[in-house]
Amino acid sequence: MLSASDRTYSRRDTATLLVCVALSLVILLMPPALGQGVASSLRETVLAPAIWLQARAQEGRTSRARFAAVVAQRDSAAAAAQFLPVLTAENRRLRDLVALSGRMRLRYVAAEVLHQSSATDDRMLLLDVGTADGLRGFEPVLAPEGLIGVVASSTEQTATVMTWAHPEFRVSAYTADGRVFGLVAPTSGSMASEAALEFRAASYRDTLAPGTPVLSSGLGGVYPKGIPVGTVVGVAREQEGWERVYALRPSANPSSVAHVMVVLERGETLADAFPSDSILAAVRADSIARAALADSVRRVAIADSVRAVIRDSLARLAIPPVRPPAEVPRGGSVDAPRPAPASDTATP
Amino acid sequence: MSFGRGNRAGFALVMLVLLLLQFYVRPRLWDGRVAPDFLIVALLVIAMGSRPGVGAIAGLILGLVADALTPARVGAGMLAHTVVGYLASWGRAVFFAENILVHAGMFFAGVWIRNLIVVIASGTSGTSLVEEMLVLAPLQGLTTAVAGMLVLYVVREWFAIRLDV
Repeated sequence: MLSASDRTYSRRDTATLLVCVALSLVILLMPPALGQGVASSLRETVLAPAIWLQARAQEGRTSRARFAAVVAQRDSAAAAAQFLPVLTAENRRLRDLVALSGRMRLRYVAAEVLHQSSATDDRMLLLDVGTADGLRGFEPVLAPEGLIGVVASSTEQTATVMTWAHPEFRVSAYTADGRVFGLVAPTSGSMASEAALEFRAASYRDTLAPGTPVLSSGLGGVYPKGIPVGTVVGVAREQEGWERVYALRPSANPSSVAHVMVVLERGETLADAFPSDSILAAVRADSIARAALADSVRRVAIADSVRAVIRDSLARLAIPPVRPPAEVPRGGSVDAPRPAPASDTATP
Repeated sequence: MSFGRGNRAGFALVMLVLLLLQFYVRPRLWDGRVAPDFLIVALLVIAMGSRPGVGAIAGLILGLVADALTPARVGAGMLAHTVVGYLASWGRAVFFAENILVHAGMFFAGVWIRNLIVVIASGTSGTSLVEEMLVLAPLQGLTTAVAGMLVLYVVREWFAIRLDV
């Protein structure tokens, strides 16, 4: 049997639980902007040391991998330089070409992702950059593979990113060949570990082959044009005669990305910064088609000019038409053949 | 287990070590969805040595920390950790568990219940919810249970914890 003090403690515990649950529910149900404000102020104050600590840990973890990569590159270059200096130089040139940072025309800031062991970690990422680095909000966040998301809120030292896996994420997009425009959104109800995207509002008459790259269109002003969003996998569903929704394989994976770039400028294209294999293939195919067309036109023009030259040469060498001999008047003479007019023999 | 004057310093040291494990060691060694969650280990260590009300308050505070770091839905973590903290403290008072498997089960159940409440309060549904509950949360519960048992094994002398087999 409980004593009076135990019952008092028990009632107090229950009351404490109810107060805590009520407080949680109030914060849960209040507008998201207020909740984000509370979270931001916490990150700026009491949690700043924890975030600093995690950022250092992330640096330490990635710097080991970076160091190993640099050592491997140095060893490879040293070995190759002994035998093939030209190849080494070309290798360096190509490596520079594939470095995304070198291709970025827009101003950006590099950031490290501070992953949390939370069930919603792939929806919202925490970055170690903030307003002190130039962030103002709604900046696109990119990985070398493509689009990760957009900055949802930022404090002086940190920022949260709404990734494409967030249910409220949307981006205007188009196919790499420029034929079809639509809206990309996360697939509802997909497996968390296999979160995918959908390419919506594609008209029914337009069909997309699997493997077609889908890029951001630049409409809306948030995401620059030309950022890879995903690749068409197949038709997810369709409304008969109205629209098709295509399933996309996302270009970048938020849950595994360690470093990202936050684009600080807007309004321009980033198409040149993402020459992925598929996009390059599409561009190459397009270039080949254009080159073939130009070649055909050139051949026709050459054939025409050759034909004209032959015709003119023949015309120049042509024996003037022989007139039927006129009856020679008795005691008269026959006129000598006159040369052809100058205009007939002139070459163009 | 109780946190009297004698072992308050030890308790503070354990909490500090758990925070270091969460924010410094875990990102360096194993940063993934099923990595052990040392925040919930800290919560359960507090809850096991306190009254349910104190467990609920500790859960509220640690939930606020979790929400501030991954603000998919601020408040979801607070609610989840509050419930887990209260239940852990209440459950230990009711069951008087000193068995190693019961302790491990508390860590496992704490992570599972926490993740369930967080994903539901964040608006997750469908196959994603099923996968979270059947695959990811159990895996994280297992790793957290292992980590929690190691922590309890190290601090068992300070907090007078019995880990009977």
